[in-house]
Amino acid sequence: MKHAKTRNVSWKTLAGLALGTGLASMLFVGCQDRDVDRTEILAKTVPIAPVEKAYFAPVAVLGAADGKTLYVAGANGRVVELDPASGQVVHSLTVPAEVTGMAAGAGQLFVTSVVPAGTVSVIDIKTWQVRSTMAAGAGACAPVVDDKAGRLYVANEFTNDIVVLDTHSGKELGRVDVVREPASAALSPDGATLVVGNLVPAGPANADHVAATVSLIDARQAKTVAQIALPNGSSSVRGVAVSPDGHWAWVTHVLSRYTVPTTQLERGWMNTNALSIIDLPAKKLLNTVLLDDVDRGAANPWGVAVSADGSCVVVTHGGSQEISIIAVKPLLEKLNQAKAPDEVPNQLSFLLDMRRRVHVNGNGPRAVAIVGPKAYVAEYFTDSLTSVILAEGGKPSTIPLGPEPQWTVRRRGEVYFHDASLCFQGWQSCITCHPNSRVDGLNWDLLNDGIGNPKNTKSMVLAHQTMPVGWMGVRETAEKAVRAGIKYIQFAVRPEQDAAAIDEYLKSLTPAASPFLVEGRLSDAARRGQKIFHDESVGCAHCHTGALFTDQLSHDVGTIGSYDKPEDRFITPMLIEAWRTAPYLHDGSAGTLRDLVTTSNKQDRHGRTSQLSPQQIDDLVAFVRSL
Amino acid sequence: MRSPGLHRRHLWMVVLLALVCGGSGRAVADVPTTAPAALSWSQTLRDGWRQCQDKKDAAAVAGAAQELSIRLETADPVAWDWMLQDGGLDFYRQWLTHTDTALERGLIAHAAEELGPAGAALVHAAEQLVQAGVALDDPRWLDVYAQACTQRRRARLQALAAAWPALVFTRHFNMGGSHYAYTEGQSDAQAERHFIPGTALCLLEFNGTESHVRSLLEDPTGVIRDPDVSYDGRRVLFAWKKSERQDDYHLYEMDLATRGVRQLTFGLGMADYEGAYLPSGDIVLSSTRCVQSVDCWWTEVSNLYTCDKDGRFLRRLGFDQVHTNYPAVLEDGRVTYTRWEYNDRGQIFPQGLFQMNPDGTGQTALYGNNTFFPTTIAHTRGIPGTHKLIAVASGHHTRQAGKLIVIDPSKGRQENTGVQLVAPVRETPNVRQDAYGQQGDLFAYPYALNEKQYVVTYHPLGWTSRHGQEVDPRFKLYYMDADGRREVLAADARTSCNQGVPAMARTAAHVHPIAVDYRQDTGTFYVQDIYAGPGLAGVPRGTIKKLRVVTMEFRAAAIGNNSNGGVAGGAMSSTPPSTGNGAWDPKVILGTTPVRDDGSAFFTVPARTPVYFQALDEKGYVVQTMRSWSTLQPGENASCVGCHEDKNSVPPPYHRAQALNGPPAELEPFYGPRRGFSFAREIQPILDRHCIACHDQIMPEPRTHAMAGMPANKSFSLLATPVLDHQAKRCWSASYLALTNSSEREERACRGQSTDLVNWISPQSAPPMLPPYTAGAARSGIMKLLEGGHGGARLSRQEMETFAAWIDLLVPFCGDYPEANAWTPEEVARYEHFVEKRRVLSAIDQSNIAAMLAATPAPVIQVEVQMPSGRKLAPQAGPNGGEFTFDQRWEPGSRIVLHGPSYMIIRLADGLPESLLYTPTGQVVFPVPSGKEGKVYPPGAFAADRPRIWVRPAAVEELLFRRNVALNPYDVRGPAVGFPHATASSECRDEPVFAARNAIDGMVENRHHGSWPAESWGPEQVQNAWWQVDFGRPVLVDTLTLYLRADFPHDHTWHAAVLEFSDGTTENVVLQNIAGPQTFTFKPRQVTTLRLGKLLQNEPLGWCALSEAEVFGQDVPATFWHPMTGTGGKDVGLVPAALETVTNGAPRR
Repeated sequence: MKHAKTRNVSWKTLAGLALGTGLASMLFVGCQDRDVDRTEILAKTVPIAPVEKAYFAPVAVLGAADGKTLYVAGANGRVVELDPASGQVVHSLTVPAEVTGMAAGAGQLFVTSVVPAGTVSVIDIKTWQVRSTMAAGAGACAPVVDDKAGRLYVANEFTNDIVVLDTHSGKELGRVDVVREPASAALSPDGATLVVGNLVPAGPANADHVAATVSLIDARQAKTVAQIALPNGSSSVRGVAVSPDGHWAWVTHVLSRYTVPTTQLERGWMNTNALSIIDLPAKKLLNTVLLDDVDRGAANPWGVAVSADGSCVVVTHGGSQEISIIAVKPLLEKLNQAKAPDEVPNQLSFLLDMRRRVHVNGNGPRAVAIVGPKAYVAEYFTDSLTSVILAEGGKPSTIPLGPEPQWTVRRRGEVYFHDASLCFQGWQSCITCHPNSRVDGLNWDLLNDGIGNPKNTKSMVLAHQTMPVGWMGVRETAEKAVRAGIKYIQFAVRPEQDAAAIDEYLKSLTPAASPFLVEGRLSDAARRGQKIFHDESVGCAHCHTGALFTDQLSHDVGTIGSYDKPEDRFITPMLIEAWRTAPYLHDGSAGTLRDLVTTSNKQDRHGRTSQLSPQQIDDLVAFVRSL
Repeated sequence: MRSPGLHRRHLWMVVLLALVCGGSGRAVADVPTTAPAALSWSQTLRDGWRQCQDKKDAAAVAGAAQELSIRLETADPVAWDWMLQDGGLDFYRQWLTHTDTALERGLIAHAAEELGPAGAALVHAAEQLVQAGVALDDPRWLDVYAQACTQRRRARLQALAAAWPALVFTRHFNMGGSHYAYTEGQSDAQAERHFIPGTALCLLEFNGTESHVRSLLEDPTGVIRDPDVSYDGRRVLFAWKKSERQDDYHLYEMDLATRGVRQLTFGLGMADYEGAYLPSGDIVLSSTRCVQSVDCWWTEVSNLYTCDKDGRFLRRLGFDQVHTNYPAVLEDGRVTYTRWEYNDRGQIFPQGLFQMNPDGTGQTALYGNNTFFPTTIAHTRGIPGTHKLIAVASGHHTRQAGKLIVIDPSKGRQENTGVQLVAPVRETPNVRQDAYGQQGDLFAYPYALNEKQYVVTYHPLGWTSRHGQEVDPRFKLYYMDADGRREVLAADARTSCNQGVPAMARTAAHVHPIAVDYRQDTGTFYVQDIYAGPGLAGVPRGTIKKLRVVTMEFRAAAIGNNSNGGVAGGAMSSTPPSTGNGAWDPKVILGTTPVRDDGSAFFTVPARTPVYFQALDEKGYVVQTMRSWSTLQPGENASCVGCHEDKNSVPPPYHRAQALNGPPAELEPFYGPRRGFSFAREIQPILDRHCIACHDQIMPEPRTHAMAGMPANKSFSLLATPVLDHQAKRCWSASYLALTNSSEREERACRGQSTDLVNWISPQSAPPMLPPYTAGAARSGIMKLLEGGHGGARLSRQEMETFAAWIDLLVPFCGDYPEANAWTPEEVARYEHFVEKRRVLSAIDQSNIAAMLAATPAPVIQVEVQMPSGRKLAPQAGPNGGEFTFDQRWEPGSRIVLHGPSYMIIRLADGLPESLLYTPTGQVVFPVPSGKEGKVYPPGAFAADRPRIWVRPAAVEELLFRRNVALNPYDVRGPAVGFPHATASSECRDEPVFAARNAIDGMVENRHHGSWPAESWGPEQVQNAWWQVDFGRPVLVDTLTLYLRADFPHDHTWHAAVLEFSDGTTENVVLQNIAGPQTFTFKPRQVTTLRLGKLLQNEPLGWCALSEAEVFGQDVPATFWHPMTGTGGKDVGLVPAALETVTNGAPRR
């Protein structure tokens, strides 16, 4: 795997230039060489996501078996060893920033970073030195160690695969394709089964069943043995844990009610928050239970951990600043006795009397580790670690991981984007439908363009640089859309400064480099595809023009579907990060870029693509997914 | 008002504690040997015991115990309650007869239980008293007990006092009448009225755990209720009714820092109460502005309304059949309230809990809408930090107190599934009882600090607190915990202490965005899958073809009645639109909408209209009916999963509904325009066409169970022959009574019985959900007969569906309330009076909405006093006026200048009345009267050291209701400075005390002449004198009352006069020489002036005079109900500019 280089031109500047004047925009029209240059320049530098070094932003917490040592890794690259009793940092070092995960093996920690290009830093716990750095893949995250087998599994979120590494040599032992954006993983205690959560659904959004999947992998053979579809509407799969007996995998995710119009939030009408239980020996989903209460959402379930005795499962709720402590035995009994198992995922009181919701002290509880009688919860935004005694009672206590973070406006916006306490009854935050500030792969029937006409979720990246906003362009600007979102989706009234902060955050988002670039440049196929893209007889660039590949105008390209009105027109979407924003078209009916230009373009109205050879189609797709 | 604070007791208690408990293991010698004199309750108790020693008769002892209890309850309610807690409800009788110290030791042991080591020390102290052989009536026993109680009280109140250092509460009579609601005591009530004056708004403040109570506002002749504290803790909203007949409850707000009070809502004949601050700053309230009468009684109905912080833009949120009460804002911003409803079911049990968003959207059941238990859920509030609610479970034919419950909707929504009785926590059985919760102790108005600790209104003995007789107990404000541990916080000997609310800043609830678009007049409903949920359990998919959308009309007044009965009980039905056991209300079919194969439906309904749904099969017969209703706000999009789905479930994400594949469906009309379903207009023509050829027999007399009594081979009459029902005051038809199997009984109203032939759901059906196809057309033999072409009758599809609809609507006869009435002209007039009142208030509602849409600014009021020296005083009041205070005396020649809207309510000095003043220019210059001019005012009225003036804009409600439109104590001689204004042909010697203005100043004293209060209009001794009042704008008048001066023998009397109206018409009147009022009624006229002309007296001419003239009527802002014709309202700034909106959104009801 070759690693993408990063970009060094401010997208904000460039896009602003492109949008600011028609002239600037025209510079790129029909000017292939300029485009090539631009793509290549852009592909070379800058971190793919802005990491503000000032923030620790803990993403992983691990506890040593002795219960006397904690390891915490922050997105900013800091990895520390903590004494939980005193809260003191015992050891500390820095690895490449944009840390995504950490795993502990015998005497060493494996820390994944997406920068520079998907690496694993191996830290020797005794010397507290980085012993080596291994190459993983684009979007490396969710490391899992099998000490006995000497294997490290790393999920490559951007290339949709799992890489198997030798823990000693760092040598790649194998690769397993998963479904889409693997972002969480856990290994059965016997090392036989790797359970991988695919963040968002793959495939067309107008299918009967649109849901993220959990991949079960035979770890030793490095091959997939089952793809378990979560209930219809499942997305944002963020946490996986396996019970000590290896029987159950616990998976946290959002369960979206995307088939109904978003008239209300009451009773989980839009998004519910779920825990799925997978029977590993049977390789099937046992059932899915809701973590919400009847009138209080438990937004954005994130991390999950199982106690050493398997009696209790702890789920962090990144949106509602709390954790759920769930008693396993009564839950499994109730599931077994459920008269209508199909109805269980729709019952808001299912966990009544077997789950305790505990508010943590900080903001952004994500990673969690259970050490002895306590759960340690890493709070991403407040740079803190809160411990909760699992048994009834006792107040959570908090260990700061550094000085209290002074949030910039941008950071505050990021917090609001994630914080469901803005929302009526805490059901959801912006991130719920925009995981990683991008897409959940679902079609939503928002009321901004009428009712009964669902549209596919759009990415927030560069949203402030393209207008009007939304598939129908119903909001003039992203600023207006942000405020409309607070009002009509969060059902909240918030101060203007909150919306302005969210604007700042969204404007700061930078596109990730495509994993399909080769050393930061277009591959040969993509280069061929680029020519086809700009070929007048094909006509892609006619509308997908300018720096962001959009004329920002509405068109009928023959994609009007049964839910649309005949007069409906759709704004040309920009193509930056098209490699990670599937599905495509306003109704998400094209599951892949290939479908987009083939099965979804039978009338040849969305560019003239029917005359292209399979090779040319491949090349065209290669170009678009390199953007 | 007595504060139960423990100041005095506390002082010596500190000393005592230092002695007894301060040093460990101190011996009995440290127990004080004498009781402090301050411990009066102890003395009272011991005196009572001594005096009772000679009483042998049990009844006498019981009587003495009762008296002792009452005396202590009044004198020291805290201690009185301690002894009930520690000694039991029978304590006082036991006390008077006890013969050893077991009782004292029991008290001490019980009180010490909660105190840990300190309690053990006190028990030890008591043991030492035993060992010392201390006598039974020795004060030391109760001293030790008092110490225990005091320590316990301190411990109990600690958390409360720390969290809520101040509470506001009200003192008022015990609310409730014949039912749990009905406390508006409306000034123009049709029947039941509850108003016992004597009230205060009070503040309880803690200092440590000591408390002190003071009155913020007292009114011996009024009632203050429903305090709510603003989220910033600075203001208290409350309702205040100052007089039984001359005022109604309206919202007021007090600034806690300044104690300044401002009135937010106005009007006579409508009650605005139970106001609650919304997190947006607006207010939600209950109001009787809907002008409805309860279906099963004679009493006014209140619904929920909202207005802004100043009382502006007041508009209706609920469009509900009977009462909705007790709105309270939950932390998540929802408003919860009690809704009493009984569409197509019995009235006793469905007083469940509802919720809405603050803008009125999202109205839906929250708890217990399909249950017998709890009978009524009242006084609900959220428990902070939880999704649970605290409330009072009470009954139907009861008042507003009952048992304390905690509701957890996540555990269930019906019966006792989510209800827990607390204080103490105990088993919560499902009880089916009308007067639930009325035995034993009583709770009301809880406010939870957390799940375990509350402030509550309470009485330990309940309604039977004296001699076993039902009395009106003096409820007290208590601290209470979930286990029933309690302490009295405030008590009063005369009235109950109610409605404790923390007077402090708290986190504002979630602010819900306003989703209502008042420019629209519809909303949409989306049903995901009608087959989901138990409502259509067992019904095969595909059965339901259509949803029928029905609305009900609500009665404006109660005239006539009949009765019904069934499994849910029985009731009278006032102004009945159906025979007994028929529908409660007239029904209007708004239309039908298709249900798709997948069970989905998506359709538009009129907004601000209560609608209910009936699932119809392919024949148009009802499979399931709603027996409740929903109401959408304009522009609201409401969704539901299915038919009565479990409220604790989420919409299943199975598929995208077919109904969403297109815009919302417009309702398909039901064979013609929307109309009330009238038997005479809908069914009789069908009978006439198909049935009466055979069914033409006159009913046998007496007609008893018409059909059941008929021989099988006889055809009963289906003719439209009228049948008068004296009690129901309706003219039914023979056919209607026959089909409804109605019996006519001596002196009693007709009452129908559902049969196999015509089978409908009883209006007394039980609250729980009925299975599909319980009754209705599908269960009615007559439909099968008709399907089979009975007697050759071939009904069209329309006729069949109409017939089925009549049965499924519960056999209504009247399409509206006046139809087929047998009312007297007076009753007709009475009904029309309330219909008109409803129309006016609905027009005001529309006008308020239009003002809100137009963002009409609030009128600005300025007051300036110009001194003769040229100095100007211009104090500030609120933006909408209010009290203007001046820091110096006025001088002769000073002028008061008012700037404001054309209609202002003014009061220019202490001791003078409030009056409505009209001025077309919005400016009034009032010369401060002095010298001779001052003689027509109370002495010193304009000579205060710190003069005060009150000015505010008049509210529309104050103009549109009947009053003396001639009143103006601030009229001045000469050219009008404002209206009404009086002039005359002559004024005796040009003296102010005989000026024309004196006849409209509100003073009717006529036994003297000269200075105030005997000022009058006194002309010279002439014939044909005239006196005239000029209203300055058109007013609608119909009555004149004159008080002629009767200072006989000085005075002479006119014997005739002519009323000359500005419209050119006249009326001749004959005058009498009496001192009392002389009232003349005439055909209503719209006039600008009224002249009392051609005043004739007998020769020789003498001194005739007019002390007061009252002209009754109302303003005519034609813009309200004739938006296209008048502009007066617009000109005076009372009606918003956006008149087109008013037109478009004309009152729907």
